[in-house]
Amino acid sequence: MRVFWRLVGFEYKKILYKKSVIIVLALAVIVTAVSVWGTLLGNYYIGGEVFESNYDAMVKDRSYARALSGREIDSKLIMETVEAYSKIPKKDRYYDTPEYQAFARKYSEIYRIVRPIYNSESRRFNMEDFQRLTGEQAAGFYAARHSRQVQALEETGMSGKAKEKLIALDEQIKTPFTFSYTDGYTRFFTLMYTVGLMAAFVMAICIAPIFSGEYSSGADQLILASKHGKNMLITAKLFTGFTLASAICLVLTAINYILTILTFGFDGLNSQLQLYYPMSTYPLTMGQTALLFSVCVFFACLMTAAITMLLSAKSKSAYGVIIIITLILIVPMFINVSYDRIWLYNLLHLLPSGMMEFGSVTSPVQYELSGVIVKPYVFLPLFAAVAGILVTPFAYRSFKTHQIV
Amino acid sequence: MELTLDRVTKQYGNKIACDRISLTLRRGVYGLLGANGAGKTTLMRMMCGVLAPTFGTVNYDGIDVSRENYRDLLGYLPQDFGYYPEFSALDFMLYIAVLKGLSKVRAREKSLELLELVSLENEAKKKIKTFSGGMKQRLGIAQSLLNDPKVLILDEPTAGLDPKERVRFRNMISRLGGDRIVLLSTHIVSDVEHIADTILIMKSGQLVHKGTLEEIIGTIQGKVWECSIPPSVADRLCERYPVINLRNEGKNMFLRLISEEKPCDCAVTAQASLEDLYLYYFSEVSEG
Repeated sequence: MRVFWRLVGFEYKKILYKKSVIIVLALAVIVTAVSVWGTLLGNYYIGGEVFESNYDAMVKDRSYARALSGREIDSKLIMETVEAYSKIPKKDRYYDTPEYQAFARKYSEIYRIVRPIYNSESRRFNMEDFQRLTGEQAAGFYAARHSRQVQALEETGMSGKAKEKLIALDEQIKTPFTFSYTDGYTRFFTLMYTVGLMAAFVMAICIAPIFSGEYSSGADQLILASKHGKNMLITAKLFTGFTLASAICLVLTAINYILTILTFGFDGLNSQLQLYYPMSTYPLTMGQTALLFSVCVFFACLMTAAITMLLSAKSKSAYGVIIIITLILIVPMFINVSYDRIWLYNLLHLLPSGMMEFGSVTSPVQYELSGVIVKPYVFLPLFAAVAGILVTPFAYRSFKTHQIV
Repeated sequence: MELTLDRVTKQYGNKIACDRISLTLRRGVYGLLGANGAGKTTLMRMMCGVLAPTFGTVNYDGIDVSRENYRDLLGYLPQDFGYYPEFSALDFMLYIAVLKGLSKVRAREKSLELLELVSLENEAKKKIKTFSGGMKQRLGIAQSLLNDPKVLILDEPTAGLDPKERVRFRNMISRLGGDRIVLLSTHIVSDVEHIADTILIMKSGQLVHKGTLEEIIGTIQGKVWECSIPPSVADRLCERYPVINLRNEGKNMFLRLISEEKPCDCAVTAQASLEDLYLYYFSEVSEG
């Protein structure tokens, strides 16, 4: 076992001694930090004049949201919001009006959660509609949500059993929702997609040469003619690839989480996911969602690492490996598949970049295998783990049987 | 201690790189001679287990060369191989030592000892990317000896070494051949001439000759000629026979050449050397 760990140490040395790797890792950390703080830079302008800095705006909105934290989103709070929004004069950029700033802004988070529930298939429920929301409509908020939920599920191509399961899940969600300030978590969710993709890309750059670098440099001849070169070293290389990929993903996720939470606030850990995604069918808290989302991104990175190492073991060029991985990560981002073609939709979300989307992790569309219905946030990491486990022996074998020609 | 090759063949498409080579190597130094493309490197790779033969087997005392316990006994210096530019010479040696299964303490001791042997002790902590070609070659030689191999295969080991280092390394190989199998390929005929107990000659993928220096040279004994002739005659002979040496001698030209029959009236036979033999076997290739 000692030999194994010494080999792992040397594999890490080979990777981390490269200046390009250090630069890429440093850039990834900087970009993650900048992504967190990016939205706070600059100012908000009204009529060409600086109204407030983005940071001040965040602080103000946070204090407004915190003032409402703990209140139930019931007809009373909804009508309070309607009343506040009613004071806004009819204007295209209503949020630039003094009335919005003075009265409605305090309720903007409630407005954001409530308004979309009243959208219909043919018409978007806009601000003017909201100003005219009646007490009866407000009282029927959760019924309206449930009815939209049933309708949305009917429109998917899922089996009746899956739809029933989702409706049953939705009924477990505690209503009325209890409002809380959750920006720390919601920003984390938003940024996690970029962070996940970046982690996968950085990891690919770091580990793409793990096998192919030996071929291109010619060190493969020495390795494959040595005692441990065709067995323990390969295991050590795979271990290094997976642990480095894990470390990159975990460190960037941790930086994203810590900086986001420190900047925007810790509030919302135990709040319902529905405060961010009102139509979600899952009775999860923000904290649970953050954990599940991070797990999905982590396993997506591990699956990417397995694919990278397989390509590396097959190819003599690390650049070729990086290009293929980049295409695997980027191309699916431009493909949009609707819920009605469920198999294609589910398949697309099994690609690494698909797994890193908040939408696919918390998607209502279930994975159904031989009558077993699995939630996406359970199926995605499981699939990634199985795919990684299946791919890895091929990488092992490719290097072991590599011929020096 | 026997390395046995049985009808070893390597074919790439229509090209046969090694053609049914059968050979048994025992303790001692073997010199493998052949022109570029003769199949020397392919043969050595198959003997190291890094290239599978299309047909035939290579075994060491009954152990197939693809097995780990054979690799444990093997030292290999490939012709062109990669280093890790950011590693120091010592890091590189320690890494190869781990690959060869040496304990941490032994790896350090042996690495330092071998770096000293190849005169790199003062460069042990310098990055390999700062090394000259000769220094890299010496490092390559050092790594091949880390596990005190029973089978040592050296592909062009003296390439890039200065004459002093070459002679030193040659002597070292001679000593190593005392208790192991050493096979080296080279273009430098004098290296083989000085140290090889047995000489193997490959041509077009086939082993065309195997024997001691005397046995091998015996095949061209009486076919090496020397003469001093006018330039016009020299030009004519140069076109007809493989010429080993040519120099001006006043108005005449001195020629050393190989010929089955007496090339000219004034020619006298000379003592054959391995270089003459090399030219004799590969003159067609050289011309091509």
